Amino acid sequence: MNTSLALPVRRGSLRRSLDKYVAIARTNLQNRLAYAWDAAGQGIMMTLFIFIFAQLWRATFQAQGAVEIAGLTLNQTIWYFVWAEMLQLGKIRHVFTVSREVKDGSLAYTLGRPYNYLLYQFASGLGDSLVRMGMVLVAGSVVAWWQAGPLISFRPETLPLLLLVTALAFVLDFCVLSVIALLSFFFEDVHAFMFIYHKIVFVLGGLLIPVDFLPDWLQAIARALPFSGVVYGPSKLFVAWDTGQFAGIVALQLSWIAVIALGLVVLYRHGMRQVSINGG
Amino acid sequence: MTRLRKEIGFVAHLLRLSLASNMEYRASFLSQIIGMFINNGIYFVFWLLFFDRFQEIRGYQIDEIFMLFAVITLAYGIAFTFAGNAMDLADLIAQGRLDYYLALPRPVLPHLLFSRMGQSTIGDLTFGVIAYLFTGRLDPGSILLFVVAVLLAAVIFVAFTATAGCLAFFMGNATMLSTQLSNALLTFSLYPFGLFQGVVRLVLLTLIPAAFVGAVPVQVVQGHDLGALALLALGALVGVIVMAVVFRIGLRRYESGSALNVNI
Repeated sequence: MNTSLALPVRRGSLRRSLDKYVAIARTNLQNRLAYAWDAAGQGIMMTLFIFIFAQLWRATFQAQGAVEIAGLTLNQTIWYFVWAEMLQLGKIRHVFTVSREVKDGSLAYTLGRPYNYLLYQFASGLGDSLVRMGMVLVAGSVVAWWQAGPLISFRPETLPLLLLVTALAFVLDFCVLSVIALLSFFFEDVHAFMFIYHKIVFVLGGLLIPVDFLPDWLQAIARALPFSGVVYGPSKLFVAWDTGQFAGIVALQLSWIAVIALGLVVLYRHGMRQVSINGG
Repeated sequence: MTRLRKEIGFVAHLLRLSLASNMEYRASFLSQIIGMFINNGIYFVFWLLFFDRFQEIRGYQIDEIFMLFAVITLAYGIAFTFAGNAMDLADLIAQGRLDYYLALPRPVLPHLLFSRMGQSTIGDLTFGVIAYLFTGRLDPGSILLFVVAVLLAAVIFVAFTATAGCLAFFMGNATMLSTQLSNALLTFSLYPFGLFQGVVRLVLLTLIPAAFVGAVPVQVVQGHDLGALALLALGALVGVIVMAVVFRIGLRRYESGSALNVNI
């Protein structure tokens, strides 16, 4: 049985191999769209979340009597949270699926199938994530526009690079979540690990408060850790593009993706050695 | 009365079994509790950083946040430590896994809600107790009001979450929506109520009763406000009635998935 994390070597072209994962993503996208009510419900909830942030930061700017805090206007701060929430709520939710399959042993059945287990999870979750991200972006933009007007500082010509840094944030987050999911080989329940990760992203990742608003000493730590590459980096570039900062964030994301992916391979192989298959 | 006592005894028995089951994996059990404790601590750090920089927002300072966190984490911890299945209700309905409960001669809803005990939520419970110690309100009157207000808030947490889970009876896959609604309740409640005005304030007192699990209990304890306590008790009663009615109506639409499940 092939338990390697590497892409399976097949006779067909790379394109045929990728087609398989595209088909998985498409199937799950269609499945997700079949439950349109559920997806729409998230859009409605999103309007509420952005609304809370708008109220909190409006009150904060008013209390400070400031037009700008750490280089961001109220308009930019509110729009920052739209992109940040899109990333947070759009992340692939495979942790509990993997955890359940590890615990109940059904993982053993999937290993014989002609796909890489983690790439399958990525492709499978991608369709679902795209729907959620679309919903969040639309709903969040409506509220942000209503609360703060259009994002004046947005530069459309930077969109391709913004999408690149957003995609890297997505992959980085997937890698971290996959590590947490695979901890199920060693822990009965990985809920707490995931909650801790989420909360670290809340503070050091810039989901609740832009990293620029943190004390200087904490900013230095946050900017070096992977969490700021998951939410803060793309969201800050969305509202205040800076080519120098773009290069720094991409370098941070690629470095952490390499490190965490390596850890993921080690963890996966170690975990797979503990899988025993009995009977048929 | 005898029937009620019997059902309470049944629920207590379920909880004992769930606790024994959780304790079977002690390392995991403890890691969950410690993990959730750290989780809350990190979230609390946000507010420390926020008030360190901005001092005061609409009458809220860090002291109010201590009390808010004490109430919410303890209420949330009590709610989902004991009624662990409330958070999974949408999933259980969508997967047709109510069959097991329907076949047994016990009231379905309490059996369902209390047949699983949360693990990580014990960390919330512990955090809430410690956060309360930091509020400095250690006189017997305040402690009594705190305990009563927290228990009522816990009832509202369970009732709201279970009602949101019941949406699966009507929508099919409502797992994500019910989770979002529960998250909304928790998220809104963790912010100073003074931020919200007009219609939103009304929503937070009715459709998403975040004020009833956060601001109102805080008012009860800090102001020794018995009027607010009565309002909180009314809110809990309405929450339970709505949950029971929605579950009853929804159950008529329930279709078994013919899935084979083993409940241990």
